[in-house]
Parts: sequence; structure tokens; C-alpha cells
Amino acid sequence: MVGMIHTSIRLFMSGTFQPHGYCYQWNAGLVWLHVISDVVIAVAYFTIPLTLMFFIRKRRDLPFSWMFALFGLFIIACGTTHIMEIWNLWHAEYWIAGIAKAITAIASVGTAILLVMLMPQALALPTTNQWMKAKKELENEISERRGLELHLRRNESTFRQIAALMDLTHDAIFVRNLQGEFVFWNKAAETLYGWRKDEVIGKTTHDLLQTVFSEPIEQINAEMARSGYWEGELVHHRRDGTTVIVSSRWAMSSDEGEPAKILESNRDITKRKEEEGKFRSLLEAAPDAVVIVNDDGRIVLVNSQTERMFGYMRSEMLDQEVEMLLPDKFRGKHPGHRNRFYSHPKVRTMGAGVELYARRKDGSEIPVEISLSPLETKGGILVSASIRDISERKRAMETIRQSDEKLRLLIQGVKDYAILMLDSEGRINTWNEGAERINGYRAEEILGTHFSKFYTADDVAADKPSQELTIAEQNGRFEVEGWRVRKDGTRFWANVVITPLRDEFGQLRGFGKVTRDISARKKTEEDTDLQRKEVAQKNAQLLVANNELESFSYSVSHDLRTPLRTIDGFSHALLEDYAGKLDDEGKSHLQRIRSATQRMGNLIDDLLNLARLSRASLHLQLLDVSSLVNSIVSDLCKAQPERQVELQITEGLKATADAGLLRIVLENLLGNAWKFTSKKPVARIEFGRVKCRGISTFFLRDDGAGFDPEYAGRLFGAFQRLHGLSEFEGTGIGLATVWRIIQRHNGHIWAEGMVGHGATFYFTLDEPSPQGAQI
Amino acid sequence: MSSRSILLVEDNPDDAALTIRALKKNQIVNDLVVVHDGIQALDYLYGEGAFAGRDTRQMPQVILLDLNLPKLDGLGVLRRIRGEERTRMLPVVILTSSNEEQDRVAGYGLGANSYVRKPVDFDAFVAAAAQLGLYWLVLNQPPPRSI
Repeated sequence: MVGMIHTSIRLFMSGTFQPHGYCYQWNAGLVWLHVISDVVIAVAYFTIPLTLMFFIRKRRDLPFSWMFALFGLFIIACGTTHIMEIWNLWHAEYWIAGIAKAITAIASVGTAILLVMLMPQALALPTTNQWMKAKKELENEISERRGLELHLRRNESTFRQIAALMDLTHDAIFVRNLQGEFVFWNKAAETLYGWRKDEVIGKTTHDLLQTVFSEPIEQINAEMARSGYWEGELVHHRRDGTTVIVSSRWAMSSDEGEPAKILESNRDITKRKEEEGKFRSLLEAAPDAVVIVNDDGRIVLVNSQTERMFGYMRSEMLDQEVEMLLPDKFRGKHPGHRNRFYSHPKVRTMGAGVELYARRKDGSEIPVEISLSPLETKGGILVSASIRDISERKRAMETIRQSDEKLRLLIQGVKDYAILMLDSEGRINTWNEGAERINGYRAEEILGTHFSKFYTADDVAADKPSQELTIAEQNGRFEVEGWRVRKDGTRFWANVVITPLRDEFGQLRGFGKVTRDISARKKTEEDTDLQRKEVAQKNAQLLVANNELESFSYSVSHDLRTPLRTIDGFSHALLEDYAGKLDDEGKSHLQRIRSATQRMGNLIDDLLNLARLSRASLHLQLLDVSSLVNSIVSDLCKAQPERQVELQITEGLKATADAGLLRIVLENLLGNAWKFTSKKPVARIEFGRVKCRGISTFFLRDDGAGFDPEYAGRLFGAFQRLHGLSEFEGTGIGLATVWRIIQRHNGHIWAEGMVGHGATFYFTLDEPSPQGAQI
Repeated sequence: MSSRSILLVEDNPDDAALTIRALKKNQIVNDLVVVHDGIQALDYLYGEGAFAGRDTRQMPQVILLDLNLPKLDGLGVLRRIRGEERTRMLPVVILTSSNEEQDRVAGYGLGANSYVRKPVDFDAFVAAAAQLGLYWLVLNQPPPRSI
């Protein structure tokens, strides 16, 4: 391993071979001949590539310059081999010399091959003669071109002048070549589109302006090809993105030998288009049918309302004589009218004061209102006729007229109300029969007079009439009751309603005034008020009386009985303690005193009971009346078991009543029956129920003493007795009490009887109101 | 028969005399104390005024109380009796001329033990007095003596 490295190092070192000088046997002459020759060759060889490099750098246009570079490289390599020859005379480094030769070989072979390959191209290079010829031609051409340039420069000056002129126009003008690239752009174009000339030159038209064509581009191109001219409307986009509608004219330039260009001149018609659009939509939006007629009387334009109103299609009307829209009877004279209008055109309504009619396609005629206005155009005067169908309005007017008439007649005929209209100042405009009746004036006397004439002097002084109008105007209504004055000066109490009358714009037009004479009602109200006061007063008095009665009863109850007790008590003491000192007559007197006091005590009790009945409240409940009768009768039987009485009591009779009070009624009635039959050996008492005039009625019949029917009305009065005390005892308050109780039960009681033939008492309880149902 | 007393509160001397007579006719011999107005009645019961120093441990067996009384009426007397611990259990019989509902309601409401209306007829009055004496002095057991 170490030995190999050593060998390889030595390979490149002298030592193994003899220097080349040995071959020349170190002959000085020979050695120097080689040295000098090699040095000269090498110098020459190295000089050549340097010269070539210089040449290449100076002549950059030289074709195949890489060939020179390669050639230089090959010569340098040759020079190097000669240097190695000199070196090896003294140093035997033949490997390195060999490598240098090998490189030279490769470079030379490569150069040779490439040179061969280059040969056909090299042969194609013009020769000097050819160059000379070409140079001559070139000089001719240059001279020719100088002449042309002079011409062009003259043209350019003209062109600049034209361009400056073009800048003066307001139309946006630009020129573009057939590729669409801008070659000219005037000031107006800058203004219109927002692009500067230097920004657009070379750009494409449609890219920059994003043209929207009104017709297919192929059609435009065909037209351009045919006539070299096109005119139409385009939509362009400005630099800021907004659109502009332009009226565009295109013209193809046809200069001989010049590439064709298109000159485009655009006028901004955006505003005009907008106005046209407005005008059109205005025409369509007009409520009326609009017909525009030219001076030949032919229709040039209609809106859709015209189609609807007349029933024709637009195409059926256009270019037809306007008389087609007239009824036959007017057709003959119309052209004359029309011509007169054309000779003095002004805005006016047609046929003022005359009812106009139009004829529809179906032959029907409609009432119309027409206004005419002349339109001056380039093509002469046009007349615009606005036609309004007024059939609806005529109908409405007629309806209003009729209802007005009805209303007028109605108001005129109203007698109970004064209905009048006032103007906004309060002067009377209308007058009806009611007003004449209430106020006393006839229409012709009062119309135009101020309505304050109906007011009292005080009210007028207080400015009430105008105040009332003001309030009515502000509140939409004013109503008052007060004194008003008739024509004859008498007063009446009036109810007055004033209403403001306004037109459709809310403007006050006057007032409606409705007056009613309510004197009678006023009097009734006053009377009623008086009565109400009286009733209230009486009620108050009654309340006082009632309270007095209550305290009266109370003190009666306490104080009236006490002395009676004293009288009775001491009469009794006399009879007992002094029995021996009194004869029979004296004792009898004392007995009379005692019985009188006891009767008085009973009277007081009965009276108090009667008084109490009016105050006591009712506790109504469903009661078995029959069993109540039975219970009372059985008490009576027990008290007087010796009596012979036949009883006939219907069982199970029920009624709604206050238990305590009903017992008092039955006790009184049965007590009476018992008492007044006491003289009969065998009495008969009957209780039952019958229907009297459809109402359930209880009855109690006895066959006792009866009564004189003449006095039947007095039976139920307090202290009324139809029998002497010696005959039948009693206070005379019992039936009064019964009557009061029945009355408190919404019932009735009455009696039938004959002296000596008994009596029958009938009573009802809780009678229903007439429309109520009966159980 | 107990020796305990009867307190008669009656302003009308006639009525007082007749009441005493009626009681006597029924052999009711208890001490009968008669006072003529409401204040006297209370003075007696509580040993005050004219009755100062009375042994108030001795309470009447029954009080016969009229309603229409001078100074303090019967209902006022009753209210006071029922309000005082010493007397609240004493039997009180209202003995009056009236049978007005308002009086009866008020009397029972204040705690009267009985309500008797004096009849005009003296025979009936005697009969009533007999019943009263029998019931309140014989049958009825008085409350325990209060201290």
C-alpha cells in the first residue's frame, strides 16, 4: 500500500525518465534551437487567442463567435504543448506533457468537427461584393426614406393640427385600428370616459369601455364592411365604473396604402335618454288616454290607456286619422276644427261647455273630457290630446245630485227640528220647515241673517253665538241647551247641536245647526224634579214618623201598661183586703175597673203587634198550611172542649210564607171562626184551597154569625168591629193585623158573608206578577 | 227555705208594692231588699254609697231587675253585674212591662237568666210570682258562694 502511493507520486516526478536534453546529447546548438523555436511558437500561439478575444469583444454582431472562442482555446492548448517541450529538455515530466497534448488533441478534433459542420453556414455568409452591393442599395433606400420622412413630417404637422381641432369638439372622438387598439383619443373622450390619452393608446376599445351594443356586433361589422359607416347607440363604461349612453358614429378610413382605421365619434345622450324614458313612463303613467296627432291629423303615438279606453290595439291606431276615435256625427266637422287649432295652437280644453263623446272600437260612445296641447318638433307641430273617460264621474255626479235633492227635500220637510246651514261667519244659508215652525221666521225673511238673532240679548252680549261656532270648529261638535228667542220675542228652551262642515281639503265651509224646541220636556223634567224632591221630602218625613212610631211603641209598651197594672193590682188588693167593707155593688164596680184595665192591656198588646208587623222582616219558607191549621184548631178545642165543631180541613196544602206571621193570620181567622160560631150548638169550620181567577186561594169558611156585606170593606180596618162587645169580645185589631200580614206577603184577603149565614175569608200568598207562572 | 235575700230593683213604688204583695201571697218570706234605681242596686251589691259597710259576702239569691230605671237602666246594671267577678254568676231575672224584641235580645245578650213580662192582670202576676219563687228560690241551685 505504502509502496503504491510512493509509485504514483513518483510517476509525476522526474527521475524515472531521462530529460529530453539527453536525446540531443546536450548539444548546446540543438538544445537552443528547440528552446527558441518552441518559445516563439508558444508566444505566437498565445498571441492569437488574445487577438481573437479582442476581436470578439469588439465585434459583437459577429456570427459564430463561439467558433472563434473554441479556436482560441485549441491554439492555447497547442502553445501549452510547446512550453512543455521546453520544460522537458531539463525535466523529464513526460506524463504532464502527454496530458497537455491529449487536451490539445481533443480541442483540435472538436474544433475541426465543428468547423466542418459550420461550413455550409459560413459559405452562406455574404461575400464582400455582396456586402458592397447591399450597402449601395441600403444607401439608396436611406436617401429615399429621408425624402419620405420629410413628407411624413409635413403630414404629421397637419395631423397634429387636426388632432388639436378634434380636441375642441365636445364629442368624444377616438381612432382605433382594426385590432381595436386606440391610436387617437381626444380631450372630450378624456372628459367623458375619465381615461387620459396616454393611458389608452395601445389598449383595446371594447376591453376598456366594455361596450354594450344595441344590435349584434356581426351586423355592425357587416354594415361597416359594406358601407364603411355605422351609426347607433352604445353603452360604455367610464373609468369609475358608471355607464354612459352614447350616440355613436363609426367611419372607416380608406387611405391608400395605410392600414384601415375606424374613427368613432360618441355623444353623451345619457341625460336625454333618461328624460325620454321619463317622458315615456310619464305618458304611460298618465291617467288619461294620450293621443299624439301630427298636422295631417294622423295618430303618431298613443299610450296604453288609449288602448284600454278605446279597445283598439296600438298598431290599429298608429298612422290612422284621429277621426276614427270620434262618433260618426262629429267626424265631418272635425278636420276643420283640427286645422283651425293647428293654425293657432295653444293649450286649451276641447269643446268647453259642450259634452264630448268618444267612440270605442265596439261602436259604443263614452263621455270624455279632452285637453289639447301643441308640441313643437323638428318634424312640425304635433298635438297631444289627453282624453279622460268621465262616465264614472257623470254617474257619480248624477247620484250625488239625486241624493242631494233627496236630502234637501228630507231636510226641508222635517218639522220637529230646525235644520239650517250657516256660512263660516254664521250667516244663515238654508232654512227648513222645522226652523220656520220653531223660530217663526219664513225663509225669505231670515236667509243671510246672522244666527245670533235667535239668542237672548244677554247671550249675544256675552258673545255666545261666535263662541259656540269656535268650539264647534275646534271640537267637531257643540251641543248645548238654553233659551232661544222666537220671531215674536217669546223664549223657548232649545237643544242646539252645531257641527262644522268642511270640504275635502279640511277647509271650513260653514256649520250645520240643528235646533229642537224642548220646552215641553224641560217642563216635564222640572215637574219630575219637583215631584222627586217632594217624594224625597215625604220619604224623609216618613222615616222620621217611623222612627217616632218606633220610640212611641217602645214607650207604650213600657209605660202605658204599668199604670194599668197598678189599677188592676190595687183593685184586686181592695177586693181582697177590704172585701168586708164593700157591698156587692162596690165589688162589681171594682170588677168593671179590672176588666177594663185588662181589655186596655190587650188593646195595647194588639196595637204593638200590629205596629211591629210593619217593621219585622219576613223569613219565607215552604210551609204545610194544613198542619198549621190543625195545630191551632186543636189548641182551640183544648181551651173549649165543650164546643161541638165539625171540622173539614183539606190536608197537605202548602205555601211559601213567614211561619210566625202565617200563624198569626191563621190564629186570628180561626179564632174569629171559633168565636163567631160559639152560639151554634154544632158549628162547622172548613179550610181549603180554590182557584180564583187562576190564582191559588186559601179559604176558611164558618157557619157562624156572618156579617153585613155592606160593611165588608170595614172588616180589615183597625178598631173596626161589626159586633158589639156584649155579643162577641175582641179588640178589632185582629183582622187589621191579618190584612197587614197578607199584604206583606204580596197577597190579598177578602171576605164574603151574610148576617146569620156565616162568613168565608179568602186569602192568597205571594201572588206572582201577572206574566209569571202559577204553580 | 233559705234565708238568703231577694233584691228587687224597681223604681215604681206601685209596682214594687204589687210585686211584694204577689210574692207574699205565695209565701215567699225571704228578705226582700228593694232599691229604686240602678246606682242603688250596684251600691247594695258592692257595699258602696248608702250601703257602705254591708257584708258583701251576703249576696242575694236572685235579683229581680226592671229595665226602665232612673240614673242607670236595667241593662247597665246587668252589664256591671256580669262584668264583676264577685257577681258575675248571680241569677238575674228581668221583670219588666215590655216584651219588645230589642229588650229581650239585649237582656239575654248581657247574660240575664230569665226574662219575665209583668202581666196587667194581677191574678196572672201573682201566678207568675209563684212560679218565679218556686223556681229561683226552691228548685234552682245557686252558684257557690263567692268570696
